[in-house]
This record gives sequence, structure tokens and C-alpha cells, in this order.
Amino acid sequence: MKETNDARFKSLLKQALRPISPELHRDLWPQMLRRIDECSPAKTVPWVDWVLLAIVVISNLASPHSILVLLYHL
Amino acid sequence: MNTYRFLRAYMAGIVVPTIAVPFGLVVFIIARYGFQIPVPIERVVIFPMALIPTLFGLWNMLYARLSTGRYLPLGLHGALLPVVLIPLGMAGAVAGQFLSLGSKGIVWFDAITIPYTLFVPWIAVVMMVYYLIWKYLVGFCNKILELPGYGIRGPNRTDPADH
Repeated sequence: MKETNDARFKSLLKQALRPISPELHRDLWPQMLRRIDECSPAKTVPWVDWVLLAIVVISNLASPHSILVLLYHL
Repeated sequence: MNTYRFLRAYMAGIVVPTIAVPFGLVVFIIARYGFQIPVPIERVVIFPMALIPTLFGLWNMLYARLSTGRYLPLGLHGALLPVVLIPLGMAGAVAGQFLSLGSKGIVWFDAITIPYTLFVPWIAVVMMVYYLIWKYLVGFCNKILELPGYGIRGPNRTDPADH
């Protein structure tokens, strides 16, 4: 009697619950890549930022020793 | 995604310095052993390794708090960080005995002298570096972690980093 109940209980559970697949339904990596792409820095960098970058590079080339002091503060 | 905003801001803030510190350390090691610049590495690295990532995280948390209203763009907010960092770094350097005030300028590591006349332009260069790092790199991390004003599915705000 008890075994019959167990079998019926199992059968009811199987009907009630959707089968669980251990595999992912979809590949999540393309989604992650798309998100990184959407978040990527501005495609066009303003000219002011290029000027700032040039000033930083030139000042470090003019005084290479100060790179260490700069790095100390980064 | 509006939960744990400050934790996400802290995490986004510490990414860049945490990645950069080992590379900076390599430069210090090359300078010390390759070019024989007497840099006391073991005392120098304490400030960049221990404090700067934490300060970046806290500064980004401050930005997450302040940017809910009208506030500066992220780049300018980051450019203000050296105002806090430089005095702290110099205090650490004095305590570590690798900074002294000479007759011609500030002497770092007993080898590098920054003339007093160039000190203000040097601070400006540090602020420019910080502006660029915060605008592009920290801003990117903020977007990835969907901080308010940055989330790709977030509120309809224009991205402050683009201004």
C-alpha cells in the first residue's frame, strides 16, 4: 500500500514540476560580450582629452624621472 | 538594479588601481635595480598598494552619493582626488624618509628633484591623468556595474562621463 502511494506521489510530482535540464538554455557569453560592447568608452574622444593626454605624455618625456613620482601617486 | 549601490561603486572604483599597482611596482623595481635609482621600494609601495585602491573606491562611493543630484561629471570628480591624495602621499613619503625639502625643490627618493616652480604644473599633470583615468576607465567600470546614471538599462539620464 505504502509503495503504491509513493509511486503515485512520484508520478504526481513529475507531472507538477517541469523537467530540469542541467544544461543552460542559452549561451550567456554572447550576452556578456554585448553588454561590454554597449558599455565601451565613447567611440569619439573629444579633442580636449587628446590635448590633455598629449600634455601628460610630453611632460613625462621632458622629465622622465618624474614618472616615478607620478606613479607613486597613482 | 538599484541594490547595494555603494558596494558596487566601491568595487568599480578599486578595479583600475588594483590592476595598475603591479605594473607600477614593476617600474619601481626596474628603476631600482635596472637604473640604480635609490628607491626604497619596501617603504614606497605601502602608500600605492594599501591606500590608493581604497581611496579610489571611497571616492567612487562619494560620487555615487553626490551624482544623484546635480553634480560634476565623473572625470572632474576624479580630477579632484589628487587634492586629497598628494598631501597624503607626501606625508607618507616624509614619514618613510624618502621625501625632503631641498634648496632647489622637493627631493624624492634622494634622487629626483622637482623644482618648486614646477610643483604646481606637476600637480596639474597629475590631475589631468586622474581626469582621463576616471572619465574613461572608472566610468567604464561604473557602466558595467550599472551604477545610477551609468546603467545601460538605468534611468534616462545622460551619461555624465560624456560631457
